[in-house]
Amino acid sequence: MHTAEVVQGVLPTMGRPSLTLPSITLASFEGPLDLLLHLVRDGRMDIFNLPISDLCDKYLTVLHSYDELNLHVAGEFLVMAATLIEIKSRMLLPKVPSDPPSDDDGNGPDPRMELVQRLLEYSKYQEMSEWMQTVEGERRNVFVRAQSPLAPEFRIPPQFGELSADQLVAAMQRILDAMGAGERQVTSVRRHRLTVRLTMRILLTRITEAGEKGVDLLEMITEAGNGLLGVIMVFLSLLELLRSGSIAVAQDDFCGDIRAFFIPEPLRIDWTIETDEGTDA
Amino acid sequence: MRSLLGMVESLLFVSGDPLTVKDLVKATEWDEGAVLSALRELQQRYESSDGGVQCIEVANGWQLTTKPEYAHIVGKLLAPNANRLSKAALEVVTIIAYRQPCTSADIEAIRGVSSDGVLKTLVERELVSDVGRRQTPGRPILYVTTDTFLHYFGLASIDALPQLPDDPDAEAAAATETAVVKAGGLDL
Repeated sequence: MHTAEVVQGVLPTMGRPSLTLPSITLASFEGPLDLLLHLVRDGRMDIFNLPISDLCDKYLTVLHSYDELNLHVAGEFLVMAATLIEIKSRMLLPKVPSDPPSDDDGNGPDPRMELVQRLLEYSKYQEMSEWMQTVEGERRNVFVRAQSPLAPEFRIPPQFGELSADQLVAAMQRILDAMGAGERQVTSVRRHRLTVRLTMRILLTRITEAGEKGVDLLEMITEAGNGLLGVIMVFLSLLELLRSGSIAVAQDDFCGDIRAFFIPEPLRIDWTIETDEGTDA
Repeated sequence: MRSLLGMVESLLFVSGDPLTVKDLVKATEWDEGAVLSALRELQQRYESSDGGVQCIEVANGWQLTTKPEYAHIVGKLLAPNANRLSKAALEVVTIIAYRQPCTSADIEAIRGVSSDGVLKTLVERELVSDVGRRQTPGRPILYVTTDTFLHYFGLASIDALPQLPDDPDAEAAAATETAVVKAGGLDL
């Protein structure tokens, strides 16, 4: 992380008198561009006319100082060092008057151009991220009201189809906790002759027999038997039955009991074609 | 005596989370224009009163919050929850906010350093999420900012972000060119 006094500077403007340079603190930089921008600002260099030799020297000095401290220098920093040296050497080469075809100014493309573009682009986002940090701080000065846990019956109902998988997992965990069927040390492994297909058949028979009254969903899960495995089987079977349209679930009140009903063949909704609200059948 | 302003206020009060105008229209059965002007009126009233509550527009909705001047007092009662974002995380989330949808490689190109670890943290904090993959070789994941992001930074919507500082593409190109001419193309 930077020390505060060095990051606050903006890009220097041309012709501004150079102030006393703060000594380079061995801060960790977010990347080679971050370090370069720091050096540019720190040295009050003109970004549009980068003194590439000076910048290159300063950059390498920092890398060497990291080296002396046995700090690990990430590969990106070395790549940038190579890039700087390359630009420096290309600037040293004398210009060939008319080869390659030069632009309107009579100059070839500036080898610094690409680096300057990247620095400007990055500094733009760095500047904005400073703004973001300010609003982040401001936002932390306002507090919102939390839902009162004392009035759970007033919870705002989730909208249809808006429950995430996480919420489903949380609901499952609540049931398991209530049954005391949570994680348990395994001392022996037994083979259970329990399949989803079998459980589905048992559940479907039970729901069909219940007729219009339906069967309480929670009751089915908690009475599953066979501990954790049984609960999982019932849960998966219910999902499978719902998906196939053989049963439907209904909830009369918000946070009330959920009851499962049998749906006779002709009334089934083909979920594979259309997913419409049709669970009240 | 019931007023739309009262209805809106009571609804915002019970929902700790921001409510959208659509939510309010649905609950009050008034039209959008009326609800909006009630919201503005409510906001005005809170602002001019010396109470501790304000009504703000955030994350595409409206919400009642405490006023910032009472932060110090409220902070005494509540324990701070999440840490502030690191400098790297702020940079990455800023880039995503302006460039979305964008990939990890887009971010790396701008920052000059790999940002995968930071991205993971941002996804965990639900400030950004993936919206699919770019149909290019490697099919990289595309990231966008979330409602939680708007909420976290107290932004009314993604359009509330200020303009990026002058587009360097045009200006820098021109400026570099002039600089080169001035320096005779050689400055060592």
